[in-house]
Amino acid sequence: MPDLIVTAPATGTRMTDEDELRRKAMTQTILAMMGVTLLVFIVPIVLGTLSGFFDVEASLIILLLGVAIGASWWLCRRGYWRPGAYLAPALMFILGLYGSYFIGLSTSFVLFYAIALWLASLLLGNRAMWRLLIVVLVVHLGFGLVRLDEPLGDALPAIITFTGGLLGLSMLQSFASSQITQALAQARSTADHLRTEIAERVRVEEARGASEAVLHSLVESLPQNVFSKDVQGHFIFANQRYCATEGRTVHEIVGKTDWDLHPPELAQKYREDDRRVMESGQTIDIVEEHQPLGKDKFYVQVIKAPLVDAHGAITGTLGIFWDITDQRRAAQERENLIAELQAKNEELERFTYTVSHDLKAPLITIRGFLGLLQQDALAGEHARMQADMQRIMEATERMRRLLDELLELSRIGRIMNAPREISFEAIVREAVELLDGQLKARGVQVHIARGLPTVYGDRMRLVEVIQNLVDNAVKFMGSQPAPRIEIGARVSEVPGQTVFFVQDNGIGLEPHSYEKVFGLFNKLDARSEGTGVGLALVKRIVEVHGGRVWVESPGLNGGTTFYFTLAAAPLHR
Amino acid sequence: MNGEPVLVMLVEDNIDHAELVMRTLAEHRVANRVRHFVDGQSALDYLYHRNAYTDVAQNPYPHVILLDLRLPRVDGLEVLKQIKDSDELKHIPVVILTTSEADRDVTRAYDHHVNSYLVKPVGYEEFSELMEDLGFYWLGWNTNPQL
Repeated sequence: MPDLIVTAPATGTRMTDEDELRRKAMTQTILAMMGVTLLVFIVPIVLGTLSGFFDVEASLIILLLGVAIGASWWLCRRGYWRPGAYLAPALMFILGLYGSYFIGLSTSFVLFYAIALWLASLLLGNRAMWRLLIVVLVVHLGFGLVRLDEPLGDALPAIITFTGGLLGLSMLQSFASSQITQALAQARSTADHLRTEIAERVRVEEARGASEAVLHSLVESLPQNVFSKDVQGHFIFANQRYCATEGRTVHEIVGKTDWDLHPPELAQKYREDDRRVMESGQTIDIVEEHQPLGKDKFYVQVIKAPLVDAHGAITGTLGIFWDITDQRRAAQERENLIAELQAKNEELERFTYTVSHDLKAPLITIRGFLGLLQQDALAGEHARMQADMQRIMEATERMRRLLDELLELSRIGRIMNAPREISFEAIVREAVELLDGQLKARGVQVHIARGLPTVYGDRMRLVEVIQNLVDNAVKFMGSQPAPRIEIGARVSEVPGQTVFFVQDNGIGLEPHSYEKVFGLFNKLDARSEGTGVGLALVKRIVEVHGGRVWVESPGLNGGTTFYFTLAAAPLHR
Repeated sequence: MNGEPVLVMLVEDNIDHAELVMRTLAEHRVANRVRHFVDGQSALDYLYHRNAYTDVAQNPYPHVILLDLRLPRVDGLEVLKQIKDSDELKHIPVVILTTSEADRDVTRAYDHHVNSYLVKPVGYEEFSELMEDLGFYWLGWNTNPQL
């Protein structure tokens, strides 16, 4: 609370500037009046003097009087009002005295005493008036006693009347004057008080204005969207950020409702939230979708609170929200990464398990047959020894191949040639050429579809994919008399991707084996050649290219179709 | 061994391991006859007398089944499950004989009421000893229900 500036009220004899000014003005006016009155008398006096009616001394006195009044008036104008203030009552007093002396106590000249007292009170204050009264009474009664030419008893009524009259007049004047002074002081104090109060109020208003300006610029420069709505849901405020979010000016928002700014289903939801907030009086904190009309959806965190006036009544809602799409996206990406990592971990676990299992198998064979070999040697079974050694050789050979293929599998994704756009047909032709011997030996016809699209990837690896799939098809032709492999493509539901297929008319697959065929070292037929790495390799290569591989078959002896997807252009991941 | 032929069913996709098992079993004169199957499907066909095995007299139930876990077409665990779910077959002792020591495989095998779980030892002496003990235990000491 600022200090109140209070002017001290006029007390005692101390005269305020205002008092001084008032007295100066009065003095000047009275002197002027006296001067004018004197001027009225100038002509008859001059004429009277010239005709000998007035003696010269009297004329000179009057002239001197005029000069005194004029001088006082001039001084008063210059700011020295006190000589005039003394002069005016003094002149009146002298006039009264003059009349009383020359004409007698009961003359009407005593009126001048009254005027003198009145002027003294007015110009010099009540105290001066009372002093003058004492002087008047003493002098006048003194004159009266000196010049008393009638018995005191006869003059007594006149003396009493005179004394009482002047006393009464003085009291009335004193009373009136003090009343006026009081009223003036009161008026002045009221005025002072009002002035102070107004000054204070102006100051407070200015301070409030300043703090409001601070709040306003704070809200306007916040990076959050801020708005408020009335009870009916009309916008009553929107900060710059909110205007920018909605793509409208503040005038296009204030007075509007959510239905004017947002899709109906969102407007409905916002309105329900508003009602909930206003009914409960509680602040809510939610994550939701936001969509200005004609713009894209995004995720926001919203805090909605009731708008409360000075009396505690709820007059609407206040909302603050900010875009959390990036945070959500980051969280989503993190979750995806975790899921991917978990899948990879599981795959790795399976891989380790499979590898340890499958590498152990030839070891058991080798050690086992070494034992049997020893037995055979002791028993002299040379024919069996040959077979045992053969098995040991084959087991070591299988182990070598397993290790080679494991190494190969681990290289995919780690060591890759720079991806580029390649004609899929070229890939297929190269793979089929590499398998030419095998295909001819089994008499397999390969049909390659025309107009195959281009794909984006590592050429060498993609050749491996086709090579493995065709090799697999040849292996599982069974007793098919007219083995045939068809390679083609069709449009995928996923835009930018193409589904390729390698179809055979071999032994086919049962549904429970669809997933298994891609497992490492999983062989559906114990007698089939190979290590069970081929299709695992295909899966790995396709996945590294961002695609998917699956198998379909109408059942045993119905043939098998392997499908996989590849992108035509670089993937944006 | 009451003079009747003792039949062991061996379900093993690894030909070398099958040979190893059969030769060590023969060496210890454990079984008169061993029937070897390379995948789960043919083993089940035999047990249910389907396809090539419809002749019940020619294809009697085995006294014990030695079953590998990782098998082509129908895997060992599925074979085990089908045997133990079948009223005709569930009394036949099934011994898992595998390279896998994984807890998951052991647990799942016992979940499906396997009678025994053996891990193939690396080393001829151990392998041979295991086969001998196995024969004595399941075909000697162990009493099977008379059906």
